[in-house]
Formats: sequence, C-alpha cells, structure tokens
Amino acid sequence: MIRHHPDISWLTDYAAGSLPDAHAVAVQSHLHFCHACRAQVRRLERLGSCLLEHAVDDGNTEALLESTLARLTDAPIAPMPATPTAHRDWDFTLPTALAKLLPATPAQLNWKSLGRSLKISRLTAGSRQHEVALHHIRAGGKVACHDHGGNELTVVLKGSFSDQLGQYEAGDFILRDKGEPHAPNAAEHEDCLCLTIVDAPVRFTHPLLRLFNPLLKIHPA
Amino acid sequence: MRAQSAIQPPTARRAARATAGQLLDHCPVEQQDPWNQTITRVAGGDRAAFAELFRHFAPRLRAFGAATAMIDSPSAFGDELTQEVMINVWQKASMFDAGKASATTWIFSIARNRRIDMLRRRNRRPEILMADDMFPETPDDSADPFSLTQEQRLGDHLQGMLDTLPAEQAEVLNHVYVEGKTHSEVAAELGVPLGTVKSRIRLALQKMKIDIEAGWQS
Repeated sequence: MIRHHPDISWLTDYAAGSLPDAHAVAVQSHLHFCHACRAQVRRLERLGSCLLEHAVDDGNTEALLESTLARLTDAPIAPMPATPTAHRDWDFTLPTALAKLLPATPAQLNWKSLGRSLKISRLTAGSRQHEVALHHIRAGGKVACHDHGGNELTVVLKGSFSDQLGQYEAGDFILRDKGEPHAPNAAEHEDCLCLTIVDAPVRFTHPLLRLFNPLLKIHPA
Repeated sequence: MRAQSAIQPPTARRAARATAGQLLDHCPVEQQDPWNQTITRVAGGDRAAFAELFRHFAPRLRAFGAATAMIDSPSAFGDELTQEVMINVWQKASMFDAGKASATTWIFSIARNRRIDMLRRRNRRPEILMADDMFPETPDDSADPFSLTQEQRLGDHLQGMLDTLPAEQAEVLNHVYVEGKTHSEVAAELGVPLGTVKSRIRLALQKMKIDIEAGWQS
C-alpha cells in the first residue's frame, strides 16, 4: 500500500508543467502506481484549463490563423500510439517516463557497487542539475548512514526498504531534505529497486566514511 | 527572476491579477464544454470547425505562451506556441476523448506539453525525454466510475468556489500555471517564503475542493 505521496505543491507544479524534467520523471513514476494522485493531477489539469481560458491576449489572430491553415495541408493525422513492447524483459511494468531512460533489458544497465549492499546505475536524462539513477539494495542489505547536500528524491519501484523514519514500498515517493540523515535497509525477503534523484552529493555521517565525502560528486546527465 | 516580470506583456500582467470571480465567468463546466463537439468535427477534417476553435483559443494560447517565464521574445514565442498547439490539435483530434477530459482541459495539456518541448529546444537541452513521455495517457482511469463521479463533483464545486478565492491566491496560481514557474521560483519573485506560496496554493485548492484528499498528506 502506498503511504508516501508527493505533496500538493509537487503535484501542482507537475500538472502545470513547471517541474524540471528529472523531478517530473519521479512524480510520473509515483503516478504510475498511485490512482489517488492521478485523480488529483486530473483535477489540477482542469484548474489549468480554467486559467488558460481566462488568459486572453486582445490582439488580432486572423493572420496567424491564415498561416496555420496553410500549414495544415501537410499535417498528417497522427496514428494511435502503438503498444510499447520495447521493455518486455523487465519483470515489472515500467513507468512511461522512466522507461525512456532505461535500456531494453535490465542486464544492459551499467552498475557500480558502493559497498556490499548497494549498487547504483546512473541514467542519462538530459538534466544539468540533477543526477538521475537507479539504486539497488540487496535483500536484507543495509546502507551506511548518510545525508545529502541537497534534496534526495526516491521512488520505490520494486521491493521495499525502511529507515528510522518509516517503511517504504513500491510507489512510495520519499523526499529527504538536507539535514535528514538516514540509513536505508532493504526488506529481508526481496531486493529493493528505487529511482533516485539528487541535486547534491551524498555525505556519509560515520566519522570514518566521512573521509570519502570530498570525493563524492554528482553526475547530472 | 524578478526582472522577468518587467518584460511581460500587459495582458500577462492582467492575467496574473485575475480575481477568482473573473476566473469563474470563464470556466466551462467539464461535461458541458461547448468545444467538445467542435473537436469531433475537426477530427473529421472540418477546416471551418478548426477556424472556430482557433479564433477562441489562439488569443488564450498566445497570452499563455507570452507569459512564459525566462523567454526573451514573449510575443514571438506566444505566436509560435499557438501555432504548434493548434497544429497538434488538428493532428490529434481523432484521439480526443470527451469521457476523459473536456476540450479545454485537453488543449491546456497540449499547450503545457508543447511549451515544455519548445523550451527544451530553445535551451538546447538533449531531447531524451519529451513532454508526452512525462504526461502519458492513463486509459485505465477513464473507465473507473469512482473517478468519473469525482470529476462530476469537481465540476459542481469549482464554479461555486472560484469566486471566493482571494486575489493573492489567484495570482500565485497564475504564476505556476500560466508562467510555468515552480513554487520556489514564485517565492523568489514575490519575495515571500516558500511556505507562504505553498500555503496560498494549498488554501486555494482546498477551497475549490481540488485538494480533496488533503488529509492523507502530512
């Protein structure tokens, strides 16, 4: 059951189209799982239509109409979108936006291990400020306590994990602000796969691990 | 960000000052949107229907485009957006489904998506993700009687509630939807804390019964 949702500010910015791409991917990944937030977004889009209806420019649009009509002759009627088959090797249905960033099969992902429990695969999303990545925690695995120099956004895609602040399952949307150190543990019976978006590097809080902090960078792509 | 408001056309500034009462007058009830039938005619290749739709929506799309934050030639951008959106409407008219969204909501979502893609192209960011990927159709929901009932209820409420919105709440909604700014950008522009922007929007949405499940959000 999904217990952690984007708040109404996130959903409003999403519905209005004002979120950066990386954040929109995270919200869409949550919506993929969450019926209630999809309904919320539809209401927010309806509000958008009211605001569009109200914004009126009083200039003449006849010339623009003529030039648009002239371009219509070439405009084909778009065919119905085909059913996607490209990602059938994944063992769960991928959120539409995220699927665009993933290879056809999970085996093609490029993983980098960070300790025994955690591995990370960075994705290219065309972002200049945010690092978009998949995080994989093996079943029963524990990740060292860490903080972030900025926000960390996580959407659980498969499996579950918990930290001192709560327990998270597929579809949960978790926003951690700077100054909220946490140590995620995957559930014992299943590996956990998450989408993670950060705008600043990880900072370990353990005195020994802290030595690595100056070396940690984010890779917006 | 603050400097941007100086170059906005007068219409955009007027829109930003919209009172809730004015919004109410212009907001069609979802199920009775008169443009639903017009789009059905456009789907059949009816150019006269397209021209009718254009004459109504072009002034709105142009204002919407020209109000976009962080662009250097607002009126050219407004014209370009209008043309892109209306050509898209022509191309996609056969996919329009009045059971999912009204014509005006459908056109709003096309305008939002085209603007995102136009800004991406302008800023020379790679085209890995397109707006249509980030706002996919969700066919399963339209058949859900519970969600349809909710939409109906929203239609009833929105009209009654919009006119009770204070101007400062309507203004913030305009910054987010029409100018395409995030909550944080709006806070920076108005010189108020982020929490103030969030609470203005939250109050507006709660009043209009859009944020009907506010209870499950902490």
